[in-house]
Amino acid sequence: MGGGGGWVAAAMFPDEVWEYVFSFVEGDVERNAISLVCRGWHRIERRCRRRIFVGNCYAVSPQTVLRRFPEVRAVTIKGKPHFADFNLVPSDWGGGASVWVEALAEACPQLEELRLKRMVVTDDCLELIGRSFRNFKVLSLTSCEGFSTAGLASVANNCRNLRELDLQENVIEDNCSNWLSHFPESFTSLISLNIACLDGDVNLFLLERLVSRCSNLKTLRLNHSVPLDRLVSILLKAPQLIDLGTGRFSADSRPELLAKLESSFAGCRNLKSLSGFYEAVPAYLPTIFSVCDGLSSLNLSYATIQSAELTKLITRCKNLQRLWVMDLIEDTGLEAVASSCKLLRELRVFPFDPYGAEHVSLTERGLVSVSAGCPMLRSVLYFCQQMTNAALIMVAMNSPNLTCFRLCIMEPHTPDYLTSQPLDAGFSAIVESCKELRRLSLSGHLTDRVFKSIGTHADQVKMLSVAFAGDTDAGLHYILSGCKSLKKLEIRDCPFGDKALLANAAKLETMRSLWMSSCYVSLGACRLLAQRMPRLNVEVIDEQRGGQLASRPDDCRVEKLYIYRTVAGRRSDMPACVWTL
Amino acid sequence: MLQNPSVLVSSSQLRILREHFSMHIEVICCGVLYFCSASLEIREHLPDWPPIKPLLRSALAEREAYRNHHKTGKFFVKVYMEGIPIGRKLDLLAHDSYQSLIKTLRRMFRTKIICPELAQVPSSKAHVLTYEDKDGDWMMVGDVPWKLFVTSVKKLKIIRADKC
Repeated sequence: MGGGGGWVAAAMFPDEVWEYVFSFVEGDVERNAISLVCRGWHRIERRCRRRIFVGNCYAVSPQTVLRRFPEVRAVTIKGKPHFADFNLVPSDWGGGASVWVEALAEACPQLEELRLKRMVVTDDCLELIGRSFRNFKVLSLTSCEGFSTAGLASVANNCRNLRELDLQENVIEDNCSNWLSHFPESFTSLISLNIACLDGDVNLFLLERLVSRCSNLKTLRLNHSVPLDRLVSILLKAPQLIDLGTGRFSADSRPELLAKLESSFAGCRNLKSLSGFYEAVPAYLPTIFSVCDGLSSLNLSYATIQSAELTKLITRCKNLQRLWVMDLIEDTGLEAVASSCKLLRELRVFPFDPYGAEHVSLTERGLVSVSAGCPMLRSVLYFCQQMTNAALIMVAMNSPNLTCFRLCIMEPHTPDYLTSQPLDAGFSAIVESCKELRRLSLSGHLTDRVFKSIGTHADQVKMLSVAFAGDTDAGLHYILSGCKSLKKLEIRDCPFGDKALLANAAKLETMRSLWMSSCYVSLGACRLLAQRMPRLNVEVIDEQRGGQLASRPDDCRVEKLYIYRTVAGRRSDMPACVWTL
Repeated sequence: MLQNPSVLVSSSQLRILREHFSMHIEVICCGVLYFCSASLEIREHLPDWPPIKPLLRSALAEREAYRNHHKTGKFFVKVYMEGIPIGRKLDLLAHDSYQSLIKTLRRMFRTKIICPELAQVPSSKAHVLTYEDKDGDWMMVGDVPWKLFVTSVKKLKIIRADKC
C-alpha cells in the first residue's frame, strides 16, 4: 500500500489506534478528507464511521451506503426538494423512506438514531424501526407524512431505550388517540418529546404519567390541545425542563390559574427555550416573566398578540439569542428588541396576514434597527411589504457577519418604494459585505445585475432561493458560473432558460440539486442535458398535460424541473407526472 | 349568481384558472378554500406564495376563516346620495347579501333603490346603487358575488336611475 519507499500512514500503527484517533473527528467533510489520504485510511475510516448524512435520498442507494459503512449508528436522510414545503412538488413525487428503513433493518441492527426530513414514512416503516433496532435511541421526523398515531404507538411499544421522539411540522393522521399508552410503565428513558405538530387531542392523563416517570426529560413540546391548567401540573412534575413548548396559551381570566401558572414557571429554573403559545392571550403572558432572564430562545410565531404586549415580554429577555415572532411586533417592537436583546443571533419575523388585507406597521425600519442594535446577529428571515436599497445597505454595513439572510417581500416584483429602483444595489451590498453568507433568499424587483454581484461575491453561499427575479438568461448564467460553494439552487417564476443551463452543465454535478419551476426551460434542453450528463438525474414534472413525454416536441416548455447529481442512476419509484430523461 | 359547488384543484391548476378565467368559483386547494378570480388582489391567495410552511399557513387560514365567519370585524364605507353633500357611514360586514344592504340603504335614505338581482322596472323616482372599487372605477352594485364585492368596494353612491 502507498507510494514506493515513501511514508505509509496506515502501516505506522495498528488499525485500532487509527480508529481511536478518527473517533475524535465527527464532521462529514473531515471524515471524507481522511478517507482520501490513502487506501489504508480509507479502509479503516469506513469501518468506524458512525454518523452518515444523505442530503438527497436519491443520490445514492442504501445498499451502496451500508456496504461502505457497515458500523453506522446514526443516519440522517433528506427526501423532497425544499419547495415541497410550499406545495410546489406533487404529493406523490417520491421520497419514500421504506427502502432505506428496510436496508438498515437488514444491515444495521445496531442503528441508534434515524433523522428523516421531507420523506414519506409509513406506519409499516415505524413498526419496522421498532422491531429491528434493539438499541434505538433517537427518532426525528421533520416535514414528513404518510404515517399515523398508530405508527407512533408501535414506536412507543417497541423502542424500549428511546431517548428522543422529535416530530416537527409533520402531517400525521390521528387514528390512535391513546398511542401514549403504548409506552410501557417501565419506560423511563425519554429525554426529549416533541409532539407539537399533532393535530388531535392527546390523552392528558397518559401524558402526565409519562412525564412523571421520565425524570431525565429535558425537552417537552406539547400540541395545541393541552390546556393551560394541565400545563401547570405538567410543569410541577418536570421542573428540570430546559426546552418547553406550551399548548394552548389561553383561558378565561382566572386569578388562581394565573397564580398557579406563574409559580410553576418560577419552579423551572433551567428553562432556556420557550415555544408554542397557541392562541395566546396577553393576560397570561406575565406568568412567564420569571423565566425571561434565562431564555435564549423564544418562539412566538403562533402568538397573535399586539406589539405593546409582545414588547413588554421580549424586552425582559436580556439573554435572548433566537427570536421567532409575528410581524404584529411592528417596527416599534423591533426597536425595543434591538435595545434590550444584545445577544440576539437569529431573528425570524412571520406575516400575520400574508394576503395583505390588514395593514401592519412592520417595515424595513424594524430590520435595520435590529441589525444596528444587535452585533451578534447572524441569521435573518424577514417577511415584509416594503423595502429600500438604503435599508439593505445599512443592514449589510451593520451586520457583516450574517450567515443566513432571507428576505421575503410579499408582493412579487416590489421595487424600492422610495426610489422605485430595483433592489439590486441592496442585495449586492449584502453579498459584498457578508463574506460568510451561507444561505440567501431574494425577493422584490431584481434585474440581472444583482445576479452578477451574487455570482462574483457570494463565495460561501451554499443555498440560494430566487423567485420572480431577473430579466434574461444572463441572470442564471452569473449564478452558475460564479457562486463557488453553491450546493442547492431553487428558482421559481424567473425568465431563465436553456442557454444558461446548457452552458453550465458541469456546474450541476458539483451541486446537490437544482429546482426550476415556471421558468423558460424547454424539453429539448432537458433532453440535451440528460444526454450530456449521465451522472445527473434530470426530472421533468408535469402535472397538467396527460400523455407520454416522449412524443412531445423539443420546444415544449417544462413547467417544473428538478436536477440532482446521483451515483444511483435513474430512480424506479416515479409517479405518472415525473419523467427522468 | 349561481352557487357553484366547491371544486378540488391542485396548486398548478389553481394558477391556470387564475390566469385564464375570470370565473368566480370557489375552489379547495390543499385543504383551504380560495376564490378564483383574475383580479390581482386574489392572486395573493395562491397556496404556494408567499413561502410559508404548511402548519403556519393553515393556522393563519383558520384564523382568517374564523374572522370572516364570525364577522368580528367592522368595515365602514362612506355612502353618498346624489344631490346631498353630507354622506353617511355603513358597516358592510353587518350584512351578508345585497338584499340586506339595499334594505338598510332604503331605510337610511328613504328612497327606492333598484337592485339588478331583484329585476324591477325602473321609474323616474328610483335610484340605483353604485360603488367605487379598488381601481377607482365606478361600477353598478350587484354584478359580482357578495363576498367578492365586500373585498373590492371603497365607497358607495346612490344615483338617479335615469342617469345610467
